[in-house]
Amino acid sequence: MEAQSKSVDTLSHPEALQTDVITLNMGPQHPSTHGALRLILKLDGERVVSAQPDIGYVHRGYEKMAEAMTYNQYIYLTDRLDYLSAIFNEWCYCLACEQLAGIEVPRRAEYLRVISGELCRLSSHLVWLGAMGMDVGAFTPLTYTFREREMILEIFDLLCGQRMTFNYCRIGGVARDLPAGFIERVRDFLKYFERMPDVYDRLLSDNAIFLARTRGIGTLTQELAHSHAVTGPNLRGSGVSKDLRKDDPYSVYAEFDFKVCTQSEGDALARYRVRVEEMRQSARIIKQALDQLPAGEITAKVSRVFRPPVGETYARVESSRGIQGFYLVSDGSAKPARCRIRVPSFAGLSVMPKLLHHVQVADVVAIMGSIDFIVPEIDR
Amino acid sequence: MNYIYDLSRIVQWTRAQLHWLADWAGTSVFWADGLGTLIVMFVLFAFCASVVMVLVYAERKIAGHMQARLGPMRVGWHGVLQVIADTIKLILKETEIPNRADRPLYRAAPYVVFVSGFLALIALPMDKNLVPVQLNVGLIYMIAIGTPGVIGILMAGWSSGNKYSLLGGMRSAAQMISYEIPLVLSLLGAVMLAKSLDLHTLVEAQKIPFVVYQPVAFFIFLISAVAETNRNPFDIPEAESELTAGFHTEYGGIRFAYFFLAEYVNMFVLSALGATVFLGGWQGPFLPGWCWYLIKTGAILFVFIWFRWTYPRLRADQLMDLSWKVLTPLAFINILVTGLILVLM
Amino acid sequence: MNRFFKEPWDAVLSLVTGLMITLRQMFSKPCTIQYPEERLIWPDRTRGRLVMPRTEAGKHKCTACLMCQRNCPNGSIEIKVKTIAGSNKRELDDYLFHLDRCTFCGICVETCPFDALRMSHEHEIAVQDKARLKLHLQTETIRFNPAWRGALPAKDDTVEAQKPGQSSEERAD
Repeated sequence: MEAQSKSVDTLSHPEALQTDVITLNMGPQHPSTHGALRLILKLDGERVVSAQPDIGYVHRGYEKMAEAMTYNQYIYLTDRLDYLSAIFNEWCYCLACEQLAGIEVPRRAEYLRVISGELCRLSSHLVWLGAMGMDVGAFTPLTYTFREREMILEIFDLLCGQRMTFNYCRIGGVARDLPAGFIERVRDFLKYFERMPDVYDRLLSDNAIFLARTRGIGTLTQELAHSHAVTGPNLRGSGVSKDLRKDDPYSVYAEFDFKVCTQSEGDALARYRVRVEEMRQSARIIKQALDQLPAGEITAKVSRVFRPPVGETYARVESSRGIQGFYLVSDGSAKPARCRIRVPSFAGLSVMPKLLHHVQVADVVAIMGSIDFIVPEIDR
Repeated sequence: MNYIYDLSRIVQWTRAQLHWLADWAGTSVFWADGLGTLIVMFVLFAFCASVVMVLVYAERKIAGHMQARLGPMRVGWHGVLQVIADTIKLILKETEIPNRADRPLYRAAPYVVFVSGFLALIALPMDKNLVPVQLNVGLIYMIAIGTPGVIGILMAGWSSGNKYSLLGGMRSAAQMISYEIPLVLSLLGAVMLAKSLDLHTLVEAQKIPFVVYQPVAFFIFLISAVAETNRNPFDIPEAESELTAGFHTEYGGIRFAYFFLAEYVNMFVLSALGATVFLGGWQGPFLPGWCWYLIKTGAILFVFIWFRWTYPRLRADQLMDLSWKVLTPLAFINILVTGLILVLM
Repeated sequence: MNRFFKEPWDAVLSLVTGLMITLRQMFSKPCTIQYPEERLIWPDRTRGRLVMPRTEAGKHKCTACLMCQRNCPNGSIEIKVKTIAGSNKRELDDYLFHLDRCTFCGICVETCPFDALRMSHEHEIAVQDKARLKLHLQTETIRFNPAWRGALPAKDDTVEAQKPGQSSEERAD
């Protein structure tokens, strides 16, 4: 404005041209904020000057709700934290309860947890792959990955009667044994799925446009990742070979042969490649688990009213987004005294302002897609 | 070429009837021609609308099948009436204007975009004797008249009073100006071969379609045409994952329908231009001319749709890189090589 | 030289590969089904809306023990109990099921000691009027369906036969 009134020749004196930054509210209703996340972007033209995530739009108070519920009642609620990989939430919560009471889980139950967990990781990564494609503008990968995911969801429907909110894990084991025809079905699916990562590679990963969009953007350095406690595929994309399934083999993960996938670049493409590779590894684990599946009980003997001794515990599992943790405090009653949930997505979101510094608007969604966070889990 | 399906005979017949009518009414031929022009405009508009309807249906069906779905299936047999149902819905919808909008600009924008696409249609030769207006500089006219479309998009982006729209409008302006250059340059090779800017002469010069002589130019044209029509992988002005809907975020109802119409008319115009300049237009064996014209145009349109449902979107700066660092130099080299060969031969 | 010839060529090649995938898909079978006409077959364990099925004699098995009400995490079940006149026996008066609060977790069925509740396969439960989501289960006369096996771990007879060491090599024979 000032420049105009003084009629300075802005062509020869570009510094006299005063431009303002635009504040752009991305979300909470926006096609690519993956739920109700609000991102306050300050833009200088197409460049992002600063990005500030604003969370809390799907806050439901799940940690507090645990204090009003019995241990068993709370299991079904954990499904709704990270709804794309619900099994890990249940698993982690049950693990915490088992640690509190010192319960030994039967081996068959552990295997069933691993099978359902890895299936869940597959389906979660499939959704992510489609959404990532969508974020960079390709619609078609989404429908392909959802086709495969649908098969997994049908398998889950067969196993526990629900497609996404399974309520399958129980304190001391799992709710139900495998239904008739389950193993056959999973094997058929794995056989079908074997060649799918290659199809995605050819459709998306090797695509020159996709590579141009994702290579070198949103570089997450190891220091940054560590300082924000980023875990899971995002951390492995930065070249840190850290996977709880290998480093702290909970459950029966020590019995499987699989690779921890890492990429050293730390950019969006590296995170992408890590996840695609993880899908292959998950399929491998499921195959081994089906082969080695032991017979036996599916739950330990736990009394109907679960009253763990006084104490506190922290349990963690490697969910599809990183380390999922439950911190439980028991006062000896049938309800938890305190429940605190550590979610991997929060760490992923907390590095966003750093990653989004000085990128273009188009990169914002690509980086968000590559970080793969789930808003209901962050808000809880 | 005395086919029964020769549409030009209908035109000639109508023209004769109109002249007879003028004669009978005792008025000058001027009025008859004026009435004739109106009829032509009306027919063209109807053609335009029906082409868009077919195109939208085709796009949705092709997209559906490419994505392992079926596409529209409900309204009519295999959803053929879906587009009509959608149109009725859009017409009946309340049109709202945002509070912060610049009202006259906001209202005018969709029509500016549509008209520029529509006007380009009138210079296209659809058959040997079927061209609404034959211009001896048809190609220049086509390129020139398509340009105001970007002004319409800028108007929409600016006047909506929405930041997403503004970003979309700005991107669109930058993109369309950049891609006009390789587009025009790619057409120049064909012009040099035919030694004419008249689309009709261009078609007649193609005993063998120019795509055989000018594959690189055709390739550049195809890419630039996709970018000109703001379609994926160059749909950054709309970019639904970043800008929700870009320049037409705030539009709804009939105004949105006009943007929609304009997008598909532009697509059709550029495909038809490609078919005319590179694929030999209405020339072809056995079938009547306008059939060949539609088949060739349809083939290019299919490629447009195919691109859209396969590729991710480029970023704005990569888009510019592609235009200025790859396509434009390539087009210049193509012109140089074409010129050299023409001189040496 | 690589930069000017090989890389662009590879890029174009990768783009063509992508096109081929979508084209091939275009001529293969779609994976969707046309919903109201075609339907998925629900597995037995599907957890749909809660019902209180009737036996052959036309009676429900509920004894008003309140286990389901106590265990329901959302308070979707409200039971009214009456005492039969002249005796100390309790009997179900009203079984109010708030479908709008239910999350289909199946804990009610799991904990019912008398096998009085089942999760049916009914899943098209959208209604126009919220009042219609308050269901009095004891008034419904829904026949028992053995296929309704959602959330029934104890009475599960549809499990895969447990064979230890069931490896793929053995299965291949």
